[in-house]
Amino acid sequence: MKRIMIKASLAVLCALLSATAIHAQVADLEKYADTKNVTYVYISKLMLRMAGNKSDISVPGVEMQRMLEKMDGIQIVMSKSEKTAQQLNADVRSLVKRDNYEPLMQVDDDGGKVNIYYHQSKKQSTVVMLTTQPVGMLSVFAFTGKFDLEDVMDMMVEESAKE
Amino acid sequence: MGKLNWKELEQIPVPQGVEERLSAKIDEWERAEQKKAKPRSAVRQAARYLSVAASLVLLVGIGWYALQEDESENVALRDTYQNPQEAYAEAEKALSLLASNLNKGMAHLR
Repeated sequence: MKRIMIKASLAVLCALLSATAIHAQVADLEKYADTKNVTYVYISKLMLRMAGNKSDISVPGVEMQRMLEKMDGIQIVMSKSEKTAQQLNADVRSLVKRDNYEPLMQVDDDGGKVNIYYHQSKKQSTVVMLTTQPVGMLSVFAFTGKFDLEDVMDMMVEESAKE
Repeated sequence: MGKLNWKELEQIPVPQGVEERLSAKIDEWERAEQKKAKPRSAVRQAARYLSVAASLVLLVGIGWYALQEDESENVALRDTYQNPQEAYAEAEKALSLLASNLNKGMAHLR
């Protein structure tokens, strides 16, 4: 009986761990999936693979096929009102602080302020989060996957090599 | 077999000390029985109840977690695009934005 109980507990634990592992999203952004005045886009790993196999379009500076192979998902959250932009901004700030996201870059140009954050933990995937802040709006792009800082920096290297 | 005659039986002499020996034997059996059927200690019983309670909490927890997951999967985990080409176009736009901003940032350092 004890053996059965131990085996059952282990099975439940494994199921929970695998459920967490396939949950390749920034959980804090998930709530915007059904929020008013917000456009939420989620592209899963499977869809990225399917898309990567079918298309030959390329992004200058990015080896799409290679990046898509390493990605587990892309989340895009775009606020359509100032109120939701403020809420989204507060959520992003608390996420960055709580999970120790490293600020990678900040760019100020005519289109508004752009922040790029990087987060990597031993157990979870890497997340590169980009926020753009045109006046009264906020868009958040979260790229999740099994890539490292080198892969991100390669995007710049390849672009500069083309120039 | 004839009818049992109690009066004759009472006349049979009882060996000396049989009563004491019998009584001692019965006491010994009783002690042995009590030893065998030792009541569970309070700690053991509490541990038993606690393990049942913990199992129930675990089951309820797993059920609740599964329900929450299902709920969030309905909306947040659902692919926005059903067409890979559309998904690719959006991914391309997003990656393009990331690459261009990384390069903008680096341009100031060069």
